Amino acid sequence: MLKKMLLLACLILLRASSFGQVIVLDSSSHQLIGRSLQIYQSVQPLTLDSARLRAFTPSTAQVPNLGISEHEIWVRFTLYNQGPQREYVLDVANTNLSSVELFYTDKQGQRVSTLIDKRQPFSLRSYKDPNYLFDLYIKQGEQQEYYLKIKSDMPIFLPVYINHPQQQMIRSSKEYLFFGLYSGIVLIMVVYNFFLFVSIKDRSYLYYVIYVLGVGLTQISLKGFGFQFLWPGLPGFEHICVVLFACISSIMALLFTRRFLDVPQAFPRINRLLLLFACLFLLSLVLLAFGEYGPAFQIMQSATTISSVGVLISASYIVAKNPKVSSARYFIIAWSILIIGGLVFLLKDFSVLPYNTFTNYAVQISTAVEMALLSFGLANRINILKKEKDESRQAALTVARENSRIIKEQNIILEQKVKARTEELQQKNETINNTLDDLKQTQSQLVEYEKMASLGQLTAGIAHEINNPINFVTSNIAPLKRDVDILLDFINRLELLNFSDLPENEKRTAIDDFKEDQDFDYLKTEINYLLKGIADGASRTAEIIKSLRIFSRLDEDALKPADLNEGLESTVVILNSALSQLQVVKNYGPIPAINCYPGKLNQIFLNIISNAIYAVQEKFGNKPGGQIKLTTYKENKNIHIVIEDNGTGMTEATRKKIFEPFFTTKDVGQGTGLGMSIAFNIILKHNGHINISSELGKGSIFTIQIPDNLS
Amino acid sequence: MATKEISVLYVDDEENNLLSFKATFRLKYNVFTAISGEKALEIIDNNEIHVIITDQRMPTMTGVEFLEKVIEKNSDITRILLTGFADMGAVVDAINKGKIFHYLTKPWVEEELDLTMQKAYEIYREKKKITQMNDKLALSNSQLEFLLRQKLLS
Repeated sequence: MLKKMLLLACLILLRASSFGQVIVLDSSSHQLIGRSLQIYQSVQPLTLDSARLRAFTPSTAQVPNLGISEHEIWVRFTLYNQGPQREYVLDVANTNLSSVELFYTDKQGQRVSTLIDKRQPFSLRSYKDPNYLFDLYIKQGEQQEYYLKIKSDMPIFLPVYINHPQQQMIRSSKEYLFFGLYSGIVLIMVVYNFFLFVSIKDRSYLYYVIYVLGVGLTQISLKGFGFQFLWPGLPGFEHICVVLFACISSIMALLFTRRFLDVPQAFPRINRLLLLFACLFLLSLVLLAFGEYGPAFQIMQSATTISSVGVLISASYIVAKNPKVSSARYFIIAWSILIIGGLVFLLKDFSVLPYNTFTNYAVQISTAVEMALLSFGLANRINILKKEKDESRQAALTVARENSRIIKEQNIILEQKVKARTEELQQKNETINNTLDDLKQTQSQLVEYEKMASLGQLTAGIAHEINNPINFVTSNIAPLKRDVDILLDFINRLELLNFSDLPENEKRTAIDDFKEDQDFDYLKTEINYLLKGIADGASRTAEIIKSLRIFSRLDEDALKPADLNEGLESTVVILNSALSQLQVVKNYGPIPAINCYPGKLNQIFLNIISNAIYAVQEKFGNKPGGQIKLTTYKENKNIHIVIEDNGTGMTEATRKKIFEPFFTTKDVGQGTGLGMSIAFNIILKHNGHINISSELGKGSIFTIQIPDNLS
Repeated sequence: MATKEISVLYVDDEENNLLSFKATFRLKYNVFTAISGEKALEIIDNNEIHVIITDQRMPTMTGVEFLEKVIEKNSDITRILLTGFADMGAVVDAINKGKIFHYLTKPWVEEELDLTMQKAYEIYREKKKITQMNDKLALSNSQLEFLLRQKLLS
């Protein structure tokens, strides 16, 4: 009996061991049933009937982890309902499984199967939940065996729960809450940092935003919410979304790292390493695009592992090299937290850590914290940049202030210099003005001098000219008086004789004697001569004086109508003594009186004729043959005065320089060299022209043109 | 009337001056007049002239040129330059080349001219006297030489 009892016990034990534990359902409504599962991996697809006969192995872990497997996974478990409740929910809390199918045989012996397939739209699920949920119906005191057929191309771990429906609701709402929180965090980070990117235009923000979005979407996909809420009608996309988002986020993470830590400039080797990692992810994406999901996933997974470690080491290296960069510390901490989160998650999968809410959400929590920390790091970096910019701006401001101070000082110096220079210039200006005044004075003095010189020349000529008539007028008076006395004496004698008693013939004789004695005939001639001389002298003096008056024209500064022939003639009279040795030919044409400065024009005539006399005398000396020809005529409203001589003439060089002040061919003291210069100015003042043609040895022709309408 | 022992030649290109001069001095001097240097030289050739008064400014031949020619002919004649204006060059030439005794300006003052001519004549006379004395001395010298030669021969 005892033996039988023992055997029975053994059998029960064996059964228990061979069939696994029967899961007892009671009021404790939430059970993780991992240790009560029996698992069989089939190479080829099996039907339920054939699967039943296979040798299932009991699971040893709370959450069985089967790794990546292409096999069909068959799970068997048995439930025994102790409690009053009849309805339970089976929760296979791994959203990454491709399909889960539940089989059982009901009391009527009918096989019931329920399939939830990821490759079908989400709407076909009876439970709108990312987890695979099945209704279980067991009466109190009954026992029921269940089979699950599971397929997946992602790591297969099986957190399987049996829950009361209410408890399932609570659990689900917890998950939703967590999902909501997490999505909220991600969205906030994305939106906030995107705005920062828009305003700051720092590309690291863009990388960060895409990275955060990628990470968030990866995690949301992993939890199955993406399929539930975002793309419920796209099972094909759901299939690849995790790898896609993971690769995108990883590439962005690498780009972000490069930029955030200023890798390309400072650490070209690390830069190459990071780019290599990015290439791995790109490779994964390419494989994904070609439908090679498995290799893509594997490459992505290994690349994630390698690159996360690689990035952490690189960042540490950078911080070690450059400890000042505080934002890099944020980066390391964030990255470490992420890796720790991942580790916790993995350790949970390998049952090192217990499977609970924390371990289950470790990755999500760590990514959220990482996002925040990276955001802080970015802000810090921006702050540092801003600070640097501020500092540089401050420095620039200081430099600018210093510059402006220097400029101000220089301005003051410059102003002083300018002032000094201005004063100097003013002084110079004054000097120049004084010099100019002096020069003007000198000029006027010179003009005056030239006038005086020609006047001197004049007076010399005039003295001779006037002295002759004056001489014979004055010296004629004495002999005339004497002759008149003789005549008076003769009259007296005649009177005496007339009243004397002398006979007629004696009277006659006395008169004749007296006449003879006094040379009476000659006396008569002499008296005539003397009177004629006086008349002659007087008229000649008068003529000279008249010419002088015409010539000098005291009102010379006023524009006055004058006869140029008269002026020319007066000049000739004044120069008469000098002209006495040569022939003067006068061809005065009928010209009207014109408005001019007669005195000044006479000065020109005097100058030119004097020069002509000089040239003729140089050539002929005292020999006859010298000739000066004066011609006047009117042509086209212009009065022409031509003064022609047959003197020495002049060279081309002389002709060109003739109007230059102080140019003279005469010996020192003979001429001022101003005559022709002044003449030129006078002609300009009359709006006239002077033309000179000359041939050396043959003579010169001066032609003056004066307009007749000067006003 | 004083004996007109003094012969004066006045040269001027101005006829009125010649007439005036002649009228003034004909009673006191033996006056010759010439309208130009050439005419004057003819007169000198044909008459014994003691004093020459000449104007400087004349066409064809200036006073100085004329005086130079006079010196060539007869340096005994006392020469006076009478000119209308102060031409320094002419005066210097007259002294250096024409070797004038006196320089007078127009218009002339009768007394001054008269006095100058008297003095000029004195000088002429003295020159003449010296010349005559020299002639006499030369004559007596030659006579003495002749006598000495005869004495030596005998």
